[in-house]
Amino acid sequence: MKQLKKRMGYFVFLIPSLILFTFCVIYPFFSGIHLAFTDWDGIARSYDYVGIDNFIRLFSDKKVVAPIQNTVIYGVAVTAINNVLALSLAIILSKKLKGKAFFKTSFFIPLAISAVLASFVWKYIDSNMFSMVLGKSLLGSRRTVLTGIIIISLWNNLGSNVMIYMAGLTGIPKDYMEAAMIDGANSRKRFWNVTVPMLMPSFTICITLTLTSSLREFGTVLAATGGGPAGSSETVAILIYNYMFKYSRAGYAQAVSLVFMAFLVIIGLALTKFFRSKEIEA
Amino acid sequence: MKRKYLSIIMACGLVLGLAGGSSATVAAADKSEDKETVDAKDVSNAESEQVILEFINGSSEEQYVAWLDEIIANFEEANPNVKVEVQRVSIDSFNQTVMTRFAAGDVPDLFTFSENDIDDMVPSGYVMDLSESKNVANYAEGMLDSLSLDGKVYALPISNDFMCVTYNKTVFEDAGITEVPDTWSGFLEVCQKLQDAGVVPIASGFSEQWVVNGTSQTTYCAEVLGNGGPALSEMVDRTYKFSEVEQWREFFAKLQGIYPFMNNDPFGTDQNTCYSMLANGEAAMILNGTWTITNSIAMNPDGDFGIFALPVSEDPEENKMPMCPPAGGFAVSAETTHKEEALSFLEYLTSPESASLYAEKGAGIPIVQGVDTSSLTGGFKDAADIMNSGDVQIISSKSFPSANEDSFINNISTFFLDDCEDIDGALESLDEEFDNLAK
Repeated sequence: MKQLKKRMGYFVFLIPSLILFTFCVIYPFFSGIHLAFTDWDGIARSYDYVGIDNFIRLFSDKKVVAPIQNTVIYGVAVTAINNVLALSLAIILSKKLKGKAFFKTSFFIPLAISAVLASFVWKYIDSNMFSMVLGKSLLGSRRTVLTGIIIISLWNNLGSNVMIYMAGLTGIPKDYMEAAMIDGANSRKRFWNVTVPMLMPSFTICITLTLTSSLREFGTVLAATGGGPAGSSETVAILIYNYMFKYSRAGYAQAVSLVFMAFLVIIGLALTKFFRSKEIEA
Repeated sequence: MKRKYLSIIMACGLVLGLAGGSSATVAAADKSEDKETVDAKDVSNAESEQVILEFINGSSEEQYVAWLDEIIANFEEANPNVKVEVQRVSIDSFNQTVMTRFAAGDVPDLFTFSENDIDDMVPSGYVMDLSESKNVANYAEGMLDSLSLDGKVYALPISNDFMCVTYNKTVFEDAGITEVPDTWSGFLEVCQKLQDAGVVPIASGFSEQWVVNGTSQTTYCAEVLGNGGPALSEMVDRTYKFSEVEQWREFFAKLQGIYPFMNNDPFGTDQNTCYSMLANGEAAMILNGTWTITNSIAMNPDGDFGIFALPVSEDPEENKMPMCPPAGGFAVSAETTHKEEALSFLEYLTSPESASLYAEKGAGIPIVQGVDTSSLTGGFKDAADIMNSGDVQIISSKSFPSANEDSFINNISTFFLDDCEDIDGALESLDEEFDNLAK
């Protein structure tokens, strides 16, 4: 009974968040599912049910191929580079370092800037500085546009992973490192055999969050390039937006977003399962 | 086991936002944003019987805002029981905002309305039929066609834009160019002369996709629509194929001709930079709508700008300014609870008096007939002179439907990015994509 009361106490603290989550995420999501089976144009007062036509059409739609490719390249590249950089910086910043607080703040400040503002700042840098140095801007070429957007995203979002990895590093008991040193492990071996396994909970959070959020990237791309030039940076999220608001095909857009969501659920679950299986108790 | 459930809940939570987001916009977006306005309506109605008209507007140019503010102030002074509240929405998110408002049943009293939306919004019954308005008689024949459906008028415009060449007169004079070119070869010679003088002949900010479209529209309004080519609707319904229409082949040839005279890295340049280049004399011309004049004046109020039709033919007589019906206007919601007040405001907004003020403020070229345009200067005076002289080529609508327009922009961008080398490939690619869209 005492246990139950204690648990109820915890639950009470969850209620405000649960209410918000229910009304802002769960309710709109479920109330919109049926639209994927309609021909709704996004504005008409009525629509017809078309069964699974939207889903059939999706699998033969040539327009979705390039956005899928762009999304996967962007998502994988951002996840890999972000996590490698964030971990490296976290390790450096965890050491005794002059000006540590300044560097920590410097990496964290861009997080407070919205994706749209970050994109505008970097667009200016790109067209005025990169184009002078490289002869052409990164965002203005089909070959380099994704690189440009990846740079913006890394600058904007790196800080959160740095903080998570730093917290993870702080949580590794010093005894383990000392024991490894006594056993003769050099710094490389200590990193791979002590730091990495002990940081698995951080990897679970950072990699899963970075991958799922970068796969559904929208704001940075829309503000930086709008999907251009010539559709070369169009992501799946931009494609959904275009079908929804520009092409007046809301039913189809909803079908694409449902399939994409299912894909993200699978990716999210697989990653979480994989990293959880590697976690060890300290 | 607990961990497994926790993982599942966490992963679902992470991604639910994605699909939830799209339906949220359908069902509930903007509700909170607009609550204040709705509440304000209720309060003021209850307290003083005052009518509040909500007007969603997508223009934010300084001169336009000054004109609208004055018109609203005049109207409110004459109608003390009516207050007009303007909700200025960025043009980038205008469609999204208006669509979600309508879909959610939260309709404004008045809104600006594009010809692109007529097929979606009118059949749904959202837009009031304005055919009986006395102001309809103030427009020249055919000028309301783009804002009409089945013979009924659904929006009234205040201005019209030409798709033309806007140029800096001082730069032309400094380069020894005393007359604007009136043939295609003459135009290319002028470009060469300007380039030799160290000036960028044509500034293009293609990092913004609408600019690619604007430059294309300037070219195809003259080369295709003003030159006996098929209407855009006939390309959309596939009555014609791009590869079979000589004017479209010539259109690409013209783009090929102007490309070497554009600024370096046009796809890495935004249009504001181009306005600044034109205003400050670093560039000589911009191929786009007459709104270029307004934006360039904002960069350099002392700048001397003019306009001329892109001369696509070698015969000067054939190079008339292409003029199509306005692409947008002001509409009244069919569901407004203040029909009388909304119509009254709309009629004042599009009256000759308002149009005269529009000209006086330098907001653009008024389309309403019987308006005093003597206050216009520079490029706007050029435009008004051309319009008043009747030396224009009336053409059909210049806009493709949104999905076709995006496909068109992507193909034109690809053509430019490939150094304008493959005209046949560009025509075939356009045909393939328009065929797919027509299915």
